[in-house]
Amino acid sequence: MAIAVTITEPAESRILQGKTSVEPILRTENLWKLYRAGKVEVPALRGVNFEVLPGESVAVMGPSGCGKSSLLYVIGGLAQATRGKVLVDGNDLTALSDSARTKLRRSKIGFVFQRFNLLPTLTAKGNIAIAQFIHGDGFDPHRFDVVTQMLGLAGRLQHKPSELSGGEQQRVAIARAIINEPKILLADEPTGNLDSKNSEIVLQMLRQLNKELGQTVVMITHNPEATTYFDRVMHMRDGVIVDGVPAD
Amino acid sequence: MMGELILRNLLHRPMRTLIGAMGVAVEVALVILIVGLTSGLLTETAKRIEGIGADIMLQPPAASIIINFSGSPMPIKIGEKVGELKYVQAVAPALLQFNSSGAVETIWGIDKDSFRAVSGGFVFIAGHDMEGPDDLLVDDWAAKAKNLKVGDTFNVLNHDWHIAGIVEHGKGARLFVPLTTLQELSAARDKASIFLVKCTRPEHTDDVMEEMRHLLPNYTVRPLKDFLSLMTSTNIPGLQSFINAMIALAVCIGLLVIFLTMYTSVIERTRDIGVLKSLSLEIPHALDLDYAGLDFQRRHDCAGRGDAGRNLPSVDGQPERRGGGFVLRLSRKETARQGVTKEYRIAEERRVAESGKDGSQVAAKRDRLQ
Ligand SMILES: Nc1ncnc2c1ncn2[C@@H]1O[C@H](COP(=O)(O)OP(=O)(O)OP(=O)(O)O)[C@@H](O)[C@H]1O
Ligand SMILES: [Mg+2]
Repeated sequence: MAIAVTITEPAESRILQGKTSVEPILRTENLWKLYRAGKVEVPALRGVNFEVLPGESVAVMGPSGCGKSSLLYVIGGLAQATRGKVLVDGNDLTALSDSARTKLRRSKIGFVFQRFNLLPTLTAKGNIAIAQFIHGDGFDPHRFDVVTQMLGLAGRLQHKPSELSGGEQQRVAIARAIINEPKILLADEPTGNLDSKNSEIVLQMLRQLNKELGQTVVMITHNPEATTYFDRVMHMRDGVIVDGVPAD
Repeated sequence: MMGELILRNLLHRPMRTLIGAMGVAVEVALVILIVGLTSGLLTETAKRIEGIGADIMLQPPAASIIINFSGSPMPIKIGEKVGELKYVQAVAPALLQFNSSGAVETIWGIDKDSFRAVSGGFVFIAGHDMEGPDDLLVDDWAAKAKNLKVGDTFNVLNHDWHIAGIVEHGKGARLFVPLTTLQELSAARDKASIFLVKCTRPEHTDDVMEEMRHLLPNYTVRPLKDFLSLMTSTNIPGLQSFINAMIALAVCIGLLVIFLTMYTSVIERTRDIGVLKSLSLEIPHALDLDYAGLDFQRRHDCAGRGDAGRNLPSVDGQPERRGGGFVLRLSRKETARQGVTKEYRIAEERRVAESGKDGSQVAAKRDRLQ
């Protein structure tokens, strides 16, 4: 299955004025997402334009219902955009079929959710390893060790999610999301279910991933303190980004 | 790994797995039971009929081989006519009464003298032959099953019978009563359901049958010699379709049960399937879930899972892909919104207070990237 590749024109990626530009890893162009429930049309995104650079960490904030999750799911390829473009590493997601998007996601995107979303019947190790299997490369013990060590999970791998604390579960979820070295890590309120201590651990680990492995991170949060761990904060309201877009 | 996931899911709910497996097993057993039971019942009945010792059986026109269900009785006079035929040694009329209250069984009303002439008589294990009008003979199996002894009173067909004797099994029926009493009880005076014919010598059976057919056209004349081989399900009109229908029914119910089990486990695993999808596992279109269930807020805010937004059309006219109708309605409770909004307001205030910070951070980042 070939994946359509849209080469972005260098002229368009004007991240820095006058200096050598860096290709954004993630870019949306006038992105719209509308839901329709019965006769009512719910616009969740009304023309979102933003860019994320490789290695950048971005926090997304905004009131409930402003479209943060919708944005994350659309740029992550879990949901389809209604209008506009989503360019992930130069590939336009909106032009791809569902199965092509799924394949693209495999190598480019990792997800972390507020509710951990671990598979309850598998151990922590199984939950992380299954992502490697879905990825198609089979179990890679080296990468597995590096990631689990880094997230401090080494001693908890044989436990099922129900036997782990919320913080540990979320770290397993993060390990699962990054085990295949995705280009972008998308997190939807990853600390929303955690107490402040565990939130801090998780945020620190995200920062560590970002700083040490150069992992690009886009995280939704309602917690203002969380934003201090990030390079940039993006604010959304009523389906549009109200600031945080790099000025040019 | 996927295999492990499936195995673990099966072991996760051992009870359901067990019940599912048992459902299939019971279904198979049921089919075997139905087939076995009918064929066993037939063979057993056939053996008993064969065991009477008569050579020919005469039944009314268009009678079934399952004599228990045979239609309207014939006048007893016919027996007398058959008795006058050449090579006929004896004719015994029998009135068959089907009793379905309690155990399903057939009671034979017989005339003890003619029956003895045809069958060579009962072998008595206990008691003696029928003497009074309310006397009843029971075979040893039925006696054992019903726990009957000679001298007991036994109510069947709304009549109290006196158990006169227990006979060896294998003579047509399990319960025998005097013909005249049964005729009166079932308002079939001078009627008989079957006639059993004994020829002077077994070799004459064919000749006698020929004569009987000539004398009584349309009547059913059967040799009892190979009755057993005749008693197969295919030979009995309706029985094969009955068995087929039962099997079809059992299979249908079984499939429904299996489908239901699978359906509920899929419903229950919506979230897991969504998770697998978010991990880029290709999920067949039928199970395409969008991201339903992954979003904590949404799942908890939705009023009820039942009225999930099925196949919501999207703006561009194309129905949104919400395969299976698992996607949840999005009506949010105001309370949840307010809670988060308050949090957001605090964040906003803070942001205003620290305005300018974001820009400088991005600038720093840009510098770092160079
Ligand atoms: N599947 C859907 N069908 C219809 N409307 C939807 C659907 N998903 C989201 N919406 C609506 O789109 C808008 C944006 O929802 P979204 O979940 O993106 O908000 P959010 O910013 O993530 O909110 P929260 O902070 O509460 O998670 C909301 O008005 C929501 O009701
Ligand atoms: Mg959300």
